[in-house]
Amino acid sequence: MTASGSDQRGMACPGCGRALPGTLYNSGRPVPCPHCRAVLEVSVFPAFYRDDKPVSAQNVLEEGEANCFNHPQKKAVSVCEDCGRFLCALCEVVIGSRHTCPDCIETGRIQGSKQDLVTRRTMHDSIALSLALLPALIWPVSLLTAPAALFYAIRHWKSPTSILPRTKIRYLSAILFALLQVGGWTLLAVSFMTS
Amino acid sequence: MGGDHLLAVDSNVYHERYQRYYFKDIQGIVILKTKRGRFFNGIVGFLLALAAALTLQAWFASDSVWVVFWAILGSFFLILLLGNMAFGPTCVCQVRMPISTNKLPSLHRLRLARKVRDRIREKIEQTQGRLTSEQIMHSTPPPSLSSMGMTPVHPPGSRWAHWSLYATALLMAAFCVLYLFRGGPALAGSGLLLGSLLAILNIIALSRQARKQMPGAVKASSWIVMGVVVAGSILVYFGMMITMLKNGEVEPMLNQWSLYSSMAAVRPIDVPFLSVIFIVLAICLSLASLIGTVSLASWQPDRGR
Repeated sequence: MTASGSDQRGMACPGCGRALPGTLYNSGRPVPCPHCRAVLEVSVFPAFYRDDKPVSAQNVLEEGEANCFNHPQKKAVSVCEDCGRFLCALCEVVIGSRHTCPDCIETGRIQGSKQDLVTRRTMHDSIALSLALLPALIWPVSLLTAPAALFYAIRHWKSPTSILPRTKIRYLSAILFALLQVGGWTLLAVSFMTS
Repeated sequence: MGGDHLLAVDSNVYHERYQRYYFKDIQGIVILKTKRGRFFNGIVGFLLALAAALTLQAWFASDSVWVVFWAILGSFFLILLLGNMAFGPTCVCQVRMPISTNKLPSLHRLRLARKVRDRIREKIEQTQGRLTSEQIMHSTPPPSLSSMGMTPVHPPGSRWAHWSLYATALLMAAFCVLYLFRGGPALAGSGLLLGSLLAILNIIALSRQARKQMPGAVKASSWIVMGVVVAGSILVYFGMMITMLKNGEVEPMLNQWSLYSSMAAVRPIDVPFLSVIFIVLAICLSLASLIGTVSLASWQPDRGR
């Protein structure tokens, strides 16, 4: 078994960037880099030596064989698990263990419905909480930011936040603090008018 | 950790970015032990020792206000030091994929990185199978680095920034000794300009050494100069401010120029803890620039290999 692809693949030392010899792989203990003497632990797995050949779609060979939805001359090798279309080897996209097609990926990306495709999220709850809390340090600014925080928290209550488990505690805290500030300003206004 | 992938989350308070590393595609994991934790211990230990010395000095001078102040500051540094030691050595963890090598920024402690690696290894072996030592032994070691997906080799860098930094640091050390005996607005202004120049050169040197290949002692001395400049600026500023308050000089606070002139009129030699600070600054700057100069002068960069 050889290192796949060209001879130029190899694990590199993160310190000096030079190739590490195979004798250091999976040694089970810290070893010094032969170049910069930095102490490191290298673990490699079978994928390191896997020979990933470029994919090419096979032509349709016989009548009655399924063809790709996007390439009628190409033989279908799988089915999209989302839309059910037949896909050739070029169109097939494997994400984890799911087989899907480029159209479903694009649709999922736009709609945000596929969590596997989500690469970034905005933390609306943290923004609402910051809007409610931070301007309280400069209290006159809270006249504007408290209603803004309240609006933002309600507006984005159902917006997706982190894909990691997260409660609504930040939204609730933002709404509570904003309401307290709005209440405070209201009392101030009432007492000013009555006096 | 998902069922078939590792999710790396890079977050600040308001945004999160996600990167998925599927177990079937992970080729390798490298954990490199770094000296960042030790440098942090060194700097914080130095500050702790300084705070302890100043606490003792205030204790013997029966100055309870300063005793409390330096003791609180010292406790803060002690907590930092103990916390850093408790978390253990620092490291850099990289995961090798088919087309890239990515750092896992949250795994910057060796103990945590090893624990996560062992957990990931189980999942990877379930997906990919186990690699035997015979399979590794029979592989052909690569003669050079691939251009794709490998951590780039840092080219050797030109040294003008570091030479300038060490020269300015030595000049600053000499200035500290001079200012110790002679205050005055002119010298104070010169000191501010020299300190600003030192800080700028330090930032340039640090940014260059992050991208270039340089000896560890050179990199360390640049960081030490940065630490000394930051700590020294804070200590000198607060020291002078508190001296003025103790002397009952409240009026200068109302006006920037009178504040500057009053602070500049303080002669460090007349105030014991300011003397200690200036002497320590001079010694640290001299040592750091000396170590850096010697390392830089004796360094022969390995070009093209």
